[in-house]
Amino acid sequence: MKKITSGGLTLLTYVIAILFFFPILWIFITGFKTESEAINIPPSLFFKPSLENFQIVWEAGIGGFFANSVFVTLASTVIALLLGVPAAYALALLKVKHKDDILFWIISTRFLPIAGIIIPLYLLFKNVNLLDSLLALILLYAGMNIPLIIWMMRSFFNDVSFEIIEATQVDGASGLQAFFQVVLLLVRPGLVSTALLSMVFAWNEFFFAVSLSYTNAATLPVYMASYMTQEGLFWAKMSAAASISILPVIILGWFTQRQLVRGLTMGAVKG
Amino acid sequence: MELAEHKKRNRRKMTKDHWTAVAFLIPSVILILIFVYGFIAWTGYVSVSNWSTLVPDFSFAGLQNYISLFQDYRFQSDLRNTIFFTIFFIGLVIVMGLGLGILIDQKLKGESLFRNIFLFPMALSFIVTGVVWQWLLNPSTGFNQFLKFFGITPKWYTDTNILAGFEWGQIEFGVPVAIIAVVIAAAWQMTGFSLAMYLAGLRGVPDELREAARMDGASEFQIYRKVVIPMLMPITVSVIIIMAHMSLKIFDLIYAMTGSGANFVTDVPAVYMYETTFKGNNYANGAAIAIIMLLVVAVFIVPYLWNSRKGDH
Repeated sequence: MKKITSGGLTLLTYVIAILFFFPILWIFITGFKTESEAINIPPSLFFKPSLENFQIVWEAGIGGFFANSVFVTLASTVIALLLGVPAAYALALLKVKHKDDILFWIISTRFLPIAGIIIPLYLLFKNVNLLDSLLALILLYAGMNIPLIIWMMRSFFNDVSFEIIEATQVDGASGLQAFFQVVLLLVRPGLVSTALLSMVFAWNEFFFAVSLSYTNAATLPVYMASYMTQEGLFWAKMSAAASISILPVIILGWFTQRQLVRGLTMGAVKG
Repeated sequence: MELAEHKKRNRRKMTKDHWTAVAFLIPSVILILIFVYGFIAWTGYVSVSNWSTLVPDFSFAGLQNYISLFQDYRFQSDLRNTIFFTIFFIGLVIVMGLGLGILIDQKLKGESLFRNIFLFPMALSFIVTGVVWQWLLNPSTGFNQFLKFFGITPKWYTDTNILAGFEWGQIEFGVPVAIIAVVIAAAWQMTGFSLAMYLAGLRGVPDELREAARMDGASEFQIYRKVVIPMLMPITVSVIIIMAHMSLKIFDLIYAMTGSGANFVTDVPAVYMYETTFKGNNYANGAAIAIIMLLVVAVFIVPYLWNSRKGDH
């Protein structure tokens, strides 16, 4: 009896999981259909896959936006880590007055709506001629992810036992040396999770990008949103474009499953 | 003598550590001071100005921008939509997250695969989600192809009906049917989050407790209702707060999936803010919306963070 219910539950979970994954699967499949096949009723399951849509969106210039997204994502994550990791280290392991207050104050900024600062940002970037520039987005995404990085890395640093740090100091290593040689190595898995999550957020960000970039610095999400309003509802081409934007997340996620999942569950809290 | 020496060394180490800490923290703190708090103050300043064209005009308007917003048809619609979006979105995310959490917690085979599948949408952008669901819930191309065999053909996000509506200010207050389509898409994306939270919580329920309840003759259903779910209350509170603040800020999904909709049935404050500022050049109006959003989010988030901060000790 017990076995039957457990088998039934597994089956039920499988069905729900497939339903859940269906939208993503469907997007991938549709990218390889022609426009007319894509809107066929009933939907065609058997068709001759073609790369035509990918070719069309490529020629329409998706490559440039893809490159923008990659560059902005990587550069902003590096900067955010350089600033955020040391701050997290200080908050976790060094003696700082009002530690908790500082942490609370830093995290709280993560929850605020971007709308609250977008007008001054727009004016600032306009004045220094950085509207529609990759640099503007890099700086903003770095800033956006620093609180997240501080919050996540602090909890990883907290897991490092204090004895290890003391031991390095007895050996005569300075605070900085201890940080680079010992502690950073110990938290490496956590660091990977944190970096991945920061990349995911940068890759998907839309409000900053759509407000502050137009043609030169537009990222993939901005391109997709504008494609939809300008070209109308070409589902097959949209699906191809969407697949291109999902693909890096899937590839990255596949290789770093455990870290990405941990990052998502921890960091989504601060989304 | 030795003790004093030790103390002195310790103090020196401490001050050195202290300076390292300060150096590590200062950049982040300064950046936040300027770019978050400074800019919020600046936005507040714009929101009480007369700046409603391309030409900056910082003359003082008092609360005029706020007053006219609350009398505005579009903003009143936004408030209505946000209220119902938030309620349905949170409800769905909690029910699905808890339900799936309990299912997966039955020690099924392939548990981590399931978890990853449900978490995956969280790693996508709301733009992709919007594109996908705009299609799936499009009355002529999507799910309706299947539903029509059962004689149901909802109009999803193109529906302009307001359920149980009554006159309220400029608008009809009630449940905008179109918002339900957006809720489904948003819940699909965020269920993984509540699932992960509940799974962690379910792991924390001691087996002895369930065993004891079972000995007392409680059915599995009763165990969940009377023992497990009450124990998960703190997690439910966290999920509610975090989802609420997300839904108050929601922008990307609406922008990609439906836009404002006919009669603003799917409009939200962030979309209004973006359009009035960057398409309409009405900076003062946009700033006022931003400040209102900021205050509402803060009302939810600050007490929550304050509490969890105290909980750390």
